[in-house]
Amino acid sequence: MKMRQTVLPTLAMSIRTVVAVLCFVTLYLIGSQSLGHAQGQNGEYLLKAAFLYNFTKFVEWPDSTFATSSTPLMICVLGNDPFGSSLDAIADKTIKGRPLVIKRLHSVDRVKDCQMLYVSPNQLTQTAEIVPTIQKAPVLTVCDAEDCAEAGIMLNMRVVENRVQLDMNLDAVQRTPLKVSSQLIKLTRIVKRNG
Amino acid sequence: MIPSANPALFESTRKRPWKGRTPVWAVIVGLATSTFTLTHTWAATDSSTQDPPADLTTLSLEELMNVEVSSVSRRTQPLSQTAAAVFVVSQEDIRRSGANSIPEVLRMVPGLHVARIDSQKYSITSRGYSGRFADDLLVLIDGRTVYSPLVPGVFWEVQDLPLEDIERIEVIRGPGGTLWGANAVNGAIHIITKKAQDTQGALVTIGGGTEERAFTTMRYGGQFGNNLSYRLFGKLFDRDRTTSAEGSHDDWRMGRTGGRLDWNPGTHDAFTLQGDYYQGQAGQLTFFPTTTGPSFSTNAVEDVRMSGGNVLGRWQHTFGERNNFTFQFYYDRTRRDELSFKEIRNTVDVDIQHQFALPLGQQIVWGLGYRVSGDQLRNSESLSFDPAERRLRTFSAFVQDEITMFQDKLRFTAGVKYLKNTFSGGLLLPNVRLLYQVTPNQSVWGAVTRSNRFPSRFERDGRRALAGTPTELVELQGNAGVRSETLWGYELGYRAQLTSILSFDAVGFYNDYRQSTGEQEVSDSLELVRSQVTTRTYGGELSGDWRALPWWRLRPAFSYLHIRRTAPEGIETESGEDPTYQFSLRSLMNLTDTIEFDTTFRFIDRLVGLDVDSYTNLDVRLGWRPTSKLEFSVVGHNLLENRHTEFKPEFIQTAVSHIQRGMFGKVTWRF
Repeated sequence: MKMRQTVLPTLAMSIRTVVAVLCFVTLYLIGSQSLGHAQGQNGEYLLKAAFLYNFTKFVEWPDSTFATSSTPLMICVLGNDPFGSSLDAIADKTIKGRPLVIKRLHSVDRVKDCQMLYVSPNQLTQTAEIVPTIQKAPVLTVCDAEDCAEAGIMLNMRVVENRVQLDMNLDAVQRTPLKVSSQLIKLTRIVKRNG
Repeated sequence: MIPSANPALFESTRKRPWKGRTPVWAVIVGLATSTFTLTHTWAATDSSTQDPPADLTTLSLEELMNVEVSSVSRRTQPLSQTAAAVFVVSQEDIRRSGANSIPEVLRMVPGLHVARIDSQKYSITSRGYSGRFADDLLVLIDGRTVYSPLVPGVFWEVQDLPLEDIERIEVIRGPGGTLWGANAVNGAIHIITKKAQDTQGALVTIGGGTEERAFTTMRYGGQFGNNLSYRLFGKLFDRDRTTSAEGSHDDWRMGRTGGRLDWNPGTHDAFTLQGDYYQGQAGQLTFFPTTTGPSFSTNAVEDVRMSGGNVLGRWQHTFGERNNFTFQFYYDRTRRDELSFKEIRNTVDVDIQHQFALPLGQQIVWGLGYRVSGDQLRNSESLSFDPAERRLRTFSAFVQDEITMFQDKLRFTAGVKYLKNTFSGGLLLPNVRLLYQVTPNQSVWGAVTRSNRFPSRFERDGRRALAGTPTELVELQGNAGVRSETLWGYELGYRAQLTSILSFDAVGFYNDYRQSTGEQEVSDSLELVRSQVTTRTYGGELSGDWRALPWWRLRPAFSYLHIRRTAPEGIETESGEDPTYQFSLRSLMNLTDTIEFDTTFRFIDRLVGLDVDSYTNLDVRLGWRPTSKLEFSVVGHNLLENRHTEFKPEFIQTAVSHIQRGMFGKVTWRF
C-alpha cells in the first residue's frame, strides 16, 4: 500500500507534465497558424474587392461579350496585385448565373478578354497605352489612385476620410457599349478627362 | 466602476471582451474608427444593421460606401462570434421604432424589462432587480457612465440625446464586470453616438401629439478643413402628464444642447471632444410619512428641477493594425433638486486602454481607470445622508487575453479586473469565455463571470423615513456593515443563421448573487440595510429574425426569468418585481419604396410583488419618405388600452401612474 501511494502521485505528475507539454505544443502550432491567417487580411482591399463584385451588378455587358449564358465573367488585375487573397473571396461567387474568374495580367496584350480590368497603381503610367488598346471594347476599367479617372479610367475607388468614394469618367464609359445603371452613376462623382 | 468607463473607452474593450473573440476584430475595428468603432464591430454582430458582415459582398453599394476602411481591417466580427448575450440597436432600428426617448427605444431589446413608472421615470433591467433604481445595470453614453452611486441606479429622465445622433446602442445581458467594471452585474447598456463627420449638414425634426405634446431637434454639422468636423445640436420637448388616482401632476419639459468635435490629423490619431448641457423640470406628487394621523402621511405637488452637463475628451492612437492606445477623460456634473433631497454631483474620470497582438493568435487588452465622484446633498426629514458631502474614489485595472485557435473556430477569452472603491476593499473580477463555431453559420458559447456591485451612498450613509406612527417615524438606515454584492454568473448560448433569411439566438443563464441587500427590523422605529441576502436566478432569452419577404421582416423575442431569494431570519427582501415571462413581436414592412409600416406587439407578465397586472400592448408607426431628405411619420403608442400601469414608484414615494394611449406626428428634414 505504501508503495502505491508514492507511485501514484509520481505517475500523476508525469502525466500532467506530458499533457502540459502537449497542450503547449498544440497551442503553439495552432496559434502560429491562425496568426499567419489573420495577418494575410488587408481591410482596404477586402473592401475594394467587394466593390469590384458589386460593380458587376450595375453594369450590363452586351450579349455578344459572352459565348453562352454561363460563360464566366472575367475580372482582371493588371500589374502588381494589391488584393492578395481578398479577391479570391469573391472568386467563388456568381453573377446572373455566371461564375466570376479572377485573372492576373502582366501586360496589356490580353486586356480585351476581360470584362472588368483593375489597373494597379504601378501600371497607371501606362494608362495612355491601355486606353487606346481597349478603345470601344466592353471592358469596365477600374483604378484606385489619385486622378486616375481623369486620366481615362472609368471608375476610381478613392479613399476619402477612411471611406471609399467613387469617381466616374462617364465619357469613357459612353465610348463603349457598356450600360451602367443609374443607381451606380448616382453614387459617383462624375469627372472629365484632363485636357 | 472605472473599468466601466473603459467600455467607453473603447469599444474595443467592450467589443473584445464581450464578444469574446470579437475583440480582435472589434478592437481593431474600434480602434480604427477611433472611437467608435464600436459601431462597426458590434454592429457587425447584429445582422440587421449596416455593420460590415464577415462577407462584405452581401452589402449593397451604398452600404459599402459607408463602411470604414479601417473598420474592415480585421475581418469584422459577426455576431456569431461573440461569446456574450449581445443585442445591437442600430440607428435604423431606432428610426423605425417610433420611440421618442432612449427608454422607449430599449423596449425592443430581447430580455430587457422596460417599465414606465410615470411620465418621466423608468425601471429598466435585464435578468431581474427591477426598480426605478435598478442597481445592477450599468449604463454608459460614449464611455461616460451615467450610473449614479447615490441610491444607486440610473436617472433615466435625464439621459437623453437627439435620437438621430445615435450610431447604435449595444446591450449586453448578463455580467460584464471584467470589461465594464463595477455594477455591470445584470447587464450593461452602451449608447454610442455618431462621429461628427457622419452628421454633416442640417437636420430638423418637429413633432407633437397627445402624450408627446411637442418636441423639436435641430442639428448642424460642418467641417473646418479636411480633418476637423463638428456638430452642434439643440433639443426641446414637452411631455404630457399621465393619469393617477391622486391627480396628474407629472408633466415635464426639458432642453438640451451640445456638440461634438472630431479631429483626425493623420491615419494614426483621432481626437474627440464632446459635451452637452441640459436643464428641465418635471412635476410629481410626493408622499412623506408623518406622525399625525389618521393617514400618517402628507403629500406635496412639486416641480423637480434637474440640470447637468459633461465634457469628454478622447485620444486614440494606432500604432499598427492590432495595436492601439486610448486615453479618455471626462467631467460630469449633475444637479437635482426635489423636496426629498437635493444632490449636486461632480465626477471626474480618467481611463487608459491599450491593446496589442501577441504570437499564438492572442490579442491582449489592458487598462487602468480612476474616478472621483463627489456629492453635496441637502437632507430632508424623509431622506438624509450623513455625511452630507462625500467623495467616492474608484480605481480599476484590468487585463484580458483573447486567443483564437483552430482557424478561428475556437475563441477563448480570459480576463480579470481589479477594483477598489471607497466603500469596498480590493475586488477581483475574473471572466472566462469560450466560443466554438460549429459551422460558419452556427456557434455555441459559454461564459463564467464574476461581477460586483459597490454599496451605494444610501446603503452606507443614508436614512429614509418609511412610515409614520403617532410617536415617531419608522426609518431605514444604511450602515458601514453593507458589503459589495457579488455575483457568479454562468451562461450558455447558441446562435444560428439557419438560412439567409432566418436567424436565431438562444441564451440560458444561472446567476448566484451573494450579499444582496435586505432590510432588518432592529426596533419598532428602525430598520437597517443588511447585505446578507442570497439570490439565485435562472432563465433564458430567445430571439429571432425572419425576413419573411423582401419587404417584410419579423423579429420575435421571448424571455423567462425565475428569481429565488433566501435571507436569514428577520431580514426582509423585495420580491415579485420582475415579470416571469415577456414576449414581443416586431413587424417591419416596406409597403412601397417610400412607405413603411411598423408594428410592435408585446406581452409583459404581471408583477406579483407590486400588484401590477400583466398587459399586452401595441405600438404602430407609419412612415413616408418621399425623398431621402424628408420623412413624415405618425406613431401610436399603447393602442390596445386607454391606460395601464407598468410599474410602481420606489424609494421616493410618488403617485402611482397609469400610462395612457398616445399618438404623435413627426417630420424629419435634412438639408
